[in-house]
Amino acid sequence: MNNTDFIAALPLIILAGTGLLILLWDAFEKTPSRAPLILTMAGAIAAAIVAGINMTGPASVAFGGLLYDNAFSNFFTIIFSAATILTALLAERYLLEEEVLVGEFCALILFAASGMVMMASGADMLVIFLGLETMSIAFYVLAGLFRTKTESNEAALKYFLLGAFATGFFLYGIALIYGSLGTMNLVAMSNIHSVTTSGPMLLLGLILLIVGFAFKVAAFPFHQWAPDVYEGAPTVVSGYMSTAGKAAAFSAIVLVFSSMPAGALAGGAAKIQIVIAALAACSMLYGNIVALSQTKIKRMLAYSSTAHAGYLLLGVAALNATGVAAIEIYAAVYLLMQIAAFGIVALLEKETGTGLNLDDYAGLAKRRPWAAFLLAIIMLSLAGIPPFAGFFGKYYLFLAAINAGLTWLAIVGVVSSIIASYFYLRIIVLMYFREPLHADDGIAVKENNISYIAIGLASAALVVLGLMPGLLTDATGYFFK
Amino acid sequence: MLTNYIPLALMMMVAIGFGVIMANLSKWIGPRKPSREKLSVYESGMVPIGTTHERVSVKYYIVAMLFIIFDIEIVFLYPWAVTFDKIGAFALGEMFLFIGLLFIGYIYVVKKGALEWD
Repeated sequence: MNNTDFIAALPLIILAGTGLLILLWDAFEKTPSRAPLILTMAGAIAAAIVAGINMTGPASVAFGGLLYDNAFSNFFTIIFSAATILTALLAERYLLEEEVLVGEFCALILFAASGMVMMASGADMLVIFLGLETMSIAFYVLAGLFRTKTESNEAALKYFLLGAFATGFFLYGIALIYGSLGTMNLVAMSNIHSVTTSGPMLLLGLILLIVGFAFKVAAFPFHQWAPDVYEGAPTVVSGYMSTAGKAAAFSAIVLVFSSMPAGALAGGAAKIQIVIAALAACSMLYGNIVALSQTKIKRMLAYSSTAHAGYLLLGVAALNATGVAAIEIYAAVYLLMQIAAFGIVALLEKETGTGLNLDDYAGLAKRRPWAAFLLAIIMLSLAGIPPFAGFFGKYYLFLAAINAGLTWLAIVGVVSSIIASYFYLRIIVLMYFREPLHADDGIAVKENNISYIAIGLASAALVVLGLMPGLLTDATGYFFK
Repeated sequence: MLTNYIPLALMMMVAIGFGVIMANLSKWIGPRKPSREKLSVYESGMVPIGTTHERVSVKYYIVAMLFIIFDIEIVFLYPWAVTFDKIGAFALGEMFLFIGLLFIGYIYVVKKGALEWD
């Protein structure tokens, strides 16, 4: 126990500490104001800066093998902080207008972020589990933040019940892995050279772990909760949990799977790979095909998020250096795209819950040129059209799959991307080449510069990262060094 | 391999047999003079009034939830107190941190009025 341990955990401490501070502030201050949001951003910025400094330092394992402090964990910490900042910016007007508990919202997104940091830097399965639970419980509450709306309550209850069930699978998986390897510590696990009792128990443990994770990222057979939850939850919360939450789950998957001792699985490794590859292929195809027929934009984004989980699973299936780097890159890019997309939806939706149909976006370019322009950039990036960052994210994932000998999976990915481009481009067609359907345009007239700044920043980042993908690939080049 | 289970199977047989024989022996041998009181379901305490499936005020659940949180705090305190002299000052600091974090939650709960019944 020494100071370097605390420096390694400092981003985590800052995020959780700011959350507690806001909770205390909220207990004494009765009038809603912007102060918690500003404090949230300050905390997240500080955490990101510390993580950035830690990233350049030497890699280590803090607290006697409980917490990684390396390029991988710090990269994800920066991503989560960025997501928190963007969400706080987007939430400003939205929350004050809907008269939701601003203090609680800010404290909960910070607690969720601290859970995510634990997941991305956990060197012990128990730490990862703790992080997963911290994040999930914050999300359950956030989904039900609109206490008087039935949909929001439904979303929270559904998410809680199914999430708790999935947690059971996850925990049982950890127990079986512990039973067969004799340790829950990832560092100790990767140092095991000969495994005497491998076989079905370890395999079953890993499969249960995959079930738990697949639920959290809404991959194909475990995705049913996603459309209802994302639709019912406050829009900015949907954006936050479908991106940062997903990125956190993927960081934990990568940590666990890359720590599996070589030879422990023997013939099982190929079986696990085929399971993950099948999940990836089904998620990509199912998510994109079902998204085609959606008429509500939030449900469409939810199904497309299942498809994006499929793309990310491609990197897990490959599980080579390219795959891990590709997951980092795509997680960052996807986070920018999806949060910005939900941000625009939040900007345009009405208090009564209208303005959420795809038809409401017809002729948007004439009425709200900036919103339409930004949404067009985001949709092109989500579809993976070259000048934008989404293209490079997908490119590295497909490259990783091909390097790992999973060419068929890369082909499935490309085919499903082509399917997906239909519903992404349809929104652009609606906005630019169609006349509004109703005289009353069905879309709220909210002028909110802060939201525009956040969405503009994210879109600008998509363009810059698309033109200079080296910025991201350099940041991920340090994995486990 | 399976011979290891023989003692276990024997023990289960003895346990089941003992239970069945004892219950039936008392039935055969004992005198039986049933009365209204004797036939009623045994309950300790008061005679039950009404059904148990009643609606409980939602406030009750908040109090129950908070009770569990602080109950768990106590559960954590016990093992710490038992091994306190072995793990020393660091654990003292950690325990104060833990209680401090819960205390922030407690302040929040009190200030938000979760403990006021009306």
